[in-house]
Amino acid sequence: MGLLRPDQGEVKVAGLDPSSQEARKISGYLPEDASPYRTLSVRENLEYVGALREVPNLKDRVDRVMDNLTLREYERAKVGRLSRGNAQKLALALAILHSPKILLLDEPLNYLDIPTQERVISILNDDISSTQLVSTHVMSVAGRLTDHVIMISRGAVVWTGEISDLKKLGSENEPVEKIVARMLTSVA
Amino acid sequence: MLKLLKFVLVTRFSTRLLVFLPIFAIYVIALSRAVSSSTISPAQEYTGIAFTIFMMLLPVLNGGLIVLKSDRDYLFTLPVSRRDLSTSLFVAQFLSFGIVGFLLLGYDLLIRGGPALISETAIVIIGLGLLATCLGPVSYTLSTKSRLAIIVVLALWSLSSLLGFPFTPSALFTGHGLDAAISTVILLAILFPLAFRSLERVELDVMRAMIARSSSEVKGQGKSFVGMGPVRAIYSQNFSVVELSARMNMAGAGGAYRSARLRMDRAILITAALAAVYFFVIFRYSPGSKMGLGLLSLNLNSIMLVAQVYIAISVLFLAMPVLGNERLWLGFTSMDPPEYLRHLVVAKALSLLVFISPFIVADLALAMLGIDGALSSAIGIAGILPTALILVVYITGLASPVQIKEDMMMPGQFNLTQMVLILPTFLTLGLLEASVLFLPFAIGASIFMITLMFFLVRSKSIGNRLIQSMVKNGFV
Repeated sequence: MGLLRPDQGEVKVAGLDPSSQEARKISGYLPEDASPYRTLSVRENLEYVGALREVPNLKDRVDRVMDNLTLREYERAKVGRLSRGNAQKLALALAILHSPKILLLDEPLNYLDIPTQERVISILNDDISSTQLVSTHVMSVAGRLTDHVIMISRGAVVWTGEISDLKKLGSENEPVEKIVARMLTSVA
Repeated sequence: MLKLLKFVLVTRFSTRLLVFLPIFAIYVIALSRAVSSSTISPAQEYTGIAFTIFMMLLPVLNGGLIVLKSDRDYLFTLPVSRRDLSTSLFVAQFLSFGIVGFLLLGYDLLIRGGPALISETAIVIIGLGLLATCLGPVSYTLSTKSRLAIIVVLALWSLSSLLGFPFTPSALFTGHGLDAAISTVILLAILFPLAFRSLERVELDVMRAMIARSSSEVKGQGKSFVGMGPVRAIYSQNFSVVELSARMNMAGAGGAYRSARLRMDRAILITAALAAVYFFVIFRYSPGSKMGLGLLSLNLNSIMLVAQVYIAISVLFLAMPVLGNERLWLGFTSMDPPEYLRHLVVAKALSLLVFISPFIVADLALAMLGIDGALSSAIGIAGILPTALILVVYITGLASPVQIKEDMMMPGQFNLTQMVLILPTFLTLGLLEASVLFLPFAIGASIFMITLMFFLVRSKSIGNRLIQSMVKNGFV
């Protein structure tokens, strides 16, 4: 997100320097265990970050995002008092508020109940036309949210391809998690 | 028991800090023996009383225990003796609230000496440390209103020594050492069992305090940022509310936090009321006042100095949430990070200026009435304090920033670096106190601080270094 400089190599976001304002405008980011501004309410968080990102028609956009993620009933709630699941929904709302073209998601389904997980998967797959980079340890999440998998262990790329190709590396009916575990163990 | 105590201490305090505390204690005691005298000036008397109030006020205001999230998830579920656990937590509380407060804030006090016997002084000073230790566990599950009521009672009780009432710990400074020691011991006898009872059921009280600590919704409609640009949103956010955070210990930045947000229009009513009391006291007891001296003969400069100390402490309470409550992934990634930081700290400094402006108005009014020192006090408060907030934010941010992720829980181990980082606040106090006494110093110090802050906030490389420090210290 342009906060740290790489020790070596080069990073580009859609061909742009990640620390440039242009790259920031088109990027959205959801960290793992994301915590929004604790002393602001849900609506205040969305409006404040929306104003910082200069989101057009901010009020309508905030209303729509809250409705999509069923946050409306908590709009005046202080974030410090939200359940972990609702805080995660708000964090996701903050990441997609400005309709980013590139979305970095670190364990996006953490803390969410099953119906909300399905709603979030639907939003990410159908409602957002962005390139999404999802970091996860849960293979079912990778399978539902991504087309292409890059498996990394100890900072090195172990394997890359589609989930269907990954499944073919194991025996019939072998869970994909077992295949991944075997591959990562053999590298370690 | 010893294993549990050791575990509780090393999980809360770094080894270097634990080694440093007794060394510092020996140094302070040796210094006090070397320079103490049998007389006490009005300024020392008022500062002593103000310190007594502060030692009792802060634990009640912040309230709480120095517990870690891992305690709640792990330690409290273990089948350990409740008595051993409460004793270990009490020792940890004492090291955090009592000893650290005593060493840093009591440092100045110890070297004063005064008319009381050494034994009486020792009982009251150690007693104050233990009182501060007990008041946290006793009060932290209470509602805000109840805690405020306790604060008012304790403050009035301490101030009663100015009227000659001897049975209060603060009477140590008004020539009633024995009565002060007896009062301290009696209060401790009441609070000790209550504190231990709270510590024995710590897991239940922690959950109760977290659930009951405040309303779950913002009052009113909340703040709207619709139609604002990025910069206006930052300033609007910081002018509409005052964010206060306080550690549950008295120094450094490593204890647990309690945060609150007050609407600026309401917050300023509180400072206006306090400034009105300040104005009345100074005006009432000024040498030329037709209202006469009444029961008391107060030293005006000394009152101003004490007022400055309390106003300066507001820098700490407002400085802590500036970075602590920030979110790198939200604000800092929405624009050029050093630019966001610059607007943020300037907005916070201006917000502090507005928050304490009633005291500046009171001082200016007193200056117009011919009170010595009032003009320089006004200049000192206006010129030094807001810029000191930026200085404190930058120094703590570069050295050891702490992100507040959960109220009522320590964010991590309390270390020596964090404790030492309180020193810029003492520098601010020194500048402010000197400003009250010398007008040219007030002007010079204000110009110096404003110039320093200008270069600090304009420096992109320092801003980037601060942000890197936040990332490396686990800010999200």
